[in-house]
Formats: sequence, structure tokens, C-alpha cells
Amino acid sequence: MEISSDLIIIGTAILVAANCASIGVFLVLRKMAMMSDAISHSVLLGIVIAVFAVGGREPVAVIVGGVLSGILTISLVELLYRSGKLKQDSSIGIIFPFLFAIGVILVTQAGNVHIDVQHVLYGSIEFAPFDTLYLDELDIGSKSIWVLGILAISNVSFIVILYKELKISTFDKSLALGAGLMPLLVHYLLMIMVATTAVVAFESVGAILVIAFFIVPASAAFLLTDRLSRMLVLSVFLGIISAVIGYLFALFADVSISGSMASITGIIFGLIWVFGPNRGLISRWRQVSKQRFEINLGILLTHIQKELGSDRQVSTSTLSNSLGWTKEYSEKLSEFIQEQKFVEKNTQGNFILTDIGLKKVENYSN
Amino acid sequence: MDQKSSKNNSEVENEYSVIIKNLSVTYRTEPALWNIDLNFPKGKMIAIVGPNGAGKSTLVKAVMGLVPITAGKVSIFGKPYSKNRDKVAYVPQRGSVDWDFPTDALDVVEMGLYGKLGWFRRPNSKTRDLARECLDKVGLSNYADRQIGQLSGGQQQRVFLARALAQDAQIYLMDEPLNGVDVITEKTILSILENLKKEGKTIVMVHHELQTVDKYFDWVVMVNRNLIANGPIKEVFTKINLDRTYQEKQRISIQ
Repeated sequence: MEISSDLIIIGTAILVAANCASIGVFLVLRKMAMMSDAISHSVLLGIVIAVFAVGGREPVAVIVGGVLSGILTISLVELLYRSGKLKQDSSIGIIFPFLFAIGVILVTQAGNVHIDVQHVLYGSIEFAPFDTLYLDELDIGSKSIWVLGILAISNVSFIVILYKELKISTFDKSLALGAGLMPLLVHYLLMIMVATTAVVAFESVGAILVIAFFIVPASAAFLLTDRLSRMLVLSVFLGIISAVIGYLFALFADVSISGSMASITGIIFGLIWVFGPNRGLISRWRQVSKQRFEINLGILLTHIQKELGSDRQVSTSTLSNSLGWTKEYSEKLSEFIQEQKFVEKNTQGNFILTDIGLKKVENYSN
Repeated sequence: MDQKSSKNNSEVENEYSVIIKNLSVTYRTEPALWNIDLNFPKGKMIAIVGPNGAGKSTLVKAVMGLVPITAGKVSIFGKPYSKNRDKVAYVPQRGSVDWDFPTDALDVVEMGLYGKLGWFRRPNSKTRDLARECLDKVGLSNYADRQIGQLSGGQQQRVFLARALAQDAQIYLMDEPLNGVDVITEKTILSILENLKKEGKTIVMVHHELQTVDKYFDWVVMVNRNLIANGPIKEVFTKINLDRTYQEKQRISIQ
């Protein structure tokens, strides 16, 4: 029992991660990341109304209610920013707290229904093993695994079947329209998948972790690759890794499971942002300083060539005056050009270009 | 190929690929285009000129239904655009897409073939080869797997042209493809368009540089919300028409 409940929790987390991280790629690329924030909060309203309507937490009713409120959110946000001066971020900021707040009011009125705000924000993945699904009174296993598993199959099928349509409408709406591939329809289908994913995932892990899994792994994957297909795979992979490490950390430190999973997504993103190849902070900084060095080298050699034969000949000591560089930097570059045999010193200690140096200058002037 | 409803119509349709009647487009309460009557002839290089905010881009977009039409009709080879989508290729302004998108040059060109593939069908080796051919035509075969953001502005514009070539259309609508590009790109684009023109295709280009209009184009459409002039360069690209096109705004402000 002990092991299997661990497995159920971790399986639930992995499925949530995979579901959110795959769909999240399209949210990030469409610059709609904050829409997932809006949806994953405002689904509360739909869930509460559904629970009131059927008198209990009937999964189908909950999902339908949540998806409807998700679509309501998207439509209201689009209505707001298409109708006037408001930008999309402000529209999101107006709509979702309002819908969420109504949900919160209704929840606090619902003495007989088991939802509380704590649960809404942080979820209750800890209890996933105790919520089993019955088929004709036969125990067929964890409800969350079943529901999330079915969702994963739908999300993967959605992305695989509509991969081309999703890609073209995300990259260039006008081209998709011209190709007859109805970008608006694709947009709303995607939003339905986002809302469904948000509701189902929300049930197990709460609003905050849902947002983290929607946005963070996809953004990290975006920093790592230049291909959409790879970005999808990487995003799911990073999501799953965060879920597993987060769970182990929560066990080890005895802290909130969803809190620690969300933190791990952030830490992994941070690591990739700093250390990532090509687009990481360090590697970009290296590229820039390498380019700067090349440019300054060119400036220096051209300067030496220009002053050659004039009475203002160039030596290490004249550089900070003529080029405005610090003494240390002038010395560093002077050493480098001598090491590389771009220049030699004449009897007065001034630089003269060697053949190699002359070639190098020619390259720069081209 | 053309639907001939009456002799008169069919004559017009033989000569013109796009027929625009009474076209008006309004953004909110601002009229962007006002009552435009205009035909684009086949086998011609057509420039659309006019000051900023004159509705040049809007005109091109309206042909494709990319902006809602307030009044009027556009027909492409005698049919509404929705029935003849595959006859039109559109090259948008470079700034209209996100060049950080995780894709490479070849993939973008291949997207030009998605319309022909239709729903659900996946790109295959055939579309890949065709895309490669088109990329080769614009001189970028060495850049096929380059992430699009790492191409220069001119190269990006050529990728867009290659994408339009892949669509194998009859009408090419282009929104300032020569704006801010390098010399090689400009030459490549013009020579490709010249060939398309010889095949009888219609090339419509929003163009900014007035000095090059008579050098590059056969036909000019001068627009400033209203249609000012439309016809062969020699007949309509005159000082008087230019003044009327570019002074329109002044005239409005005086009123």
C-alpha cells in the first residue's frame, strides 16, 4: 500500500506535467502564457457551479463546468481587448480575478460541498491514492491516473493530428487563413484543450502548479532548441523531471508536494537560462565578449596600419590615449597581437604589422 | 478555367485576374479605403504606391479577406477569394511574424504547401523536395536548416518569397518585399518576379521607393484612401498624379 500510493502520487504528477507541458508549448509560442494563468484560476467558478448543479463532485460535470468557464474567460478577455484600448495583459488581469473571486465567494458559501480555497490553490495530490474510481462497484484504481491518462491520450492525439495546423496558425495566421486551415477554429480547439487540461490538472495539483507546468518547462525548452518538435519533447521531459525531483524533495524535506514541484520547475528553468548552450546567459556573454574582442582587435590593427609611417607611431603606451582604452586592456591586446605575430616591435618599440597582420587587416576591411 | 457568365465579363476576366468593385474598408470609424474600383491585369508587375496610412497594405489584405470589408466585392478569376484561395500567394511584411519561432528556413518554405495538403495530411518527402527547390531558386539552399531568426533581413524576405513560390499561385500579393533589403536580395526577388510575369502571373507589390517605380514595374496603382490613378506606368505615373496622391492628406487637413 505504501509503495503503490507513492507510485500513484508520482504517476499523477508525471501525467499532470506531461499534459500541461505539451499544450504549454503552444501557449508560450503564441505569447498567451498568461492566458493559462487566467484559465487555471477561473475554472474554479465553473467547477463550483457544476458541483452545486449536480450536488457533488461528479467528474464529468466538473470537467464540463470548468471547460465552459475556461472558454468564458477566453471569450471575455478577447472581447475586452478587441473592443478598445485595453491590451491583452490588462484584459486578462481584469477578467480572471473577477471570475475567480465569484468562485471563491461561492466556495465559502458551500458548507456542504468539499472544496476549500487552500485546495484550489495548492491542490491535494497527497490524497490522489485515496480517490479511487469504481466501475459497477468494482475498484478500477486511482481516479486521477485514469482521468489524467485519458487526458494525456487526447492531448497527444490533438497535437499529433493537428501538428501542421497548430504550427502554421501559431507562426503565421495570415498564411494559415490563406491556406484554408482556419486559424480561428484551431485557436478555439487549442483553448478547449487548455481549459480541459487546466480543470483536470487543477483537481489534482491546484492552480499554481498548473500554471508552472504550463509555462515553465515550455519556456525552458524554447531556450534549448530551434525545432518545434524537439521543443515539445523537451518540454514534456523537463516537466516530468521537475515532477519527479519535486516529489522526492518533498518526501525528503517533508514539505508541500505541489509547492516543491513548482519550485523545481523554476530552478530547472533558472539553470537552463544561466548555463544553457547557445542561449544561456553565460554562453551569450561569452559570445558577446568574443565578438567584442575580435572587433577591438580589428580596430587596433587598422589603427596601427593607419598610423604607420606617420610621426604618431603606435606602442602599448599610446593606446589608452589614442583609442580610449584602459591601460590594462591596452596591455592585454598588445600582448595578444605580439603573441599571434600580427605585429613586431621596431627599434623604437613601436608596432609594425607583419605579413600575417596585414592579411588580417585586409580581412577586416572586406 | 474561367467561369464565363457573359461575353462582356469573360473579356474582362481574360485580361484581369483580380477585379475589385466598390471596395471600402473601415477600421472602427476611420475609413482606410474608400470606394475603390480597380482591376489587376495578368502578366504585369504592379506597384501600389501612396503615402503612409494611405491604405496600401489594407488594399492587399482586403483582396485576401484578411481585413473585414465594409462594402464592395473582390473577385479572383471570377470567383470570391474563398473559392480560389490556392490561386493567391501572399508575402506579408517581415515584421508580421515572430522570427524567434523554433523553425528553420526550409520548414517555413514548406509551410507554403500546407494549403495544398489540406487538413490532417502531413508534409512528406515530396513537399520537402519542392520546398528545397524553391529555397534554391532564391539562392538560400545553404541556409535550409538555419533557424529563421539567424538569417539577415534580406534572407528572411527571400524565405518568404520562396514560400510564396512553393504555393505555385497565379497572383502574388507582396507587402513591401523590397523594404530595407540588401542589393543581392533585391536583384534575386526582381529576377524571380520577372520570370513569374513572363509566365502570365500577376504580381502586385506595395512599394515605397518612388524612384524605382518606372524601372521595376509596368503598371501602377496610386492610392490614398481613394484610388487616385491606375494604369500603365507611362500613362499614369505622372507628376500631377503623384502630387494628387501625396498631397491628399494636406488637402484634408486644410478642409
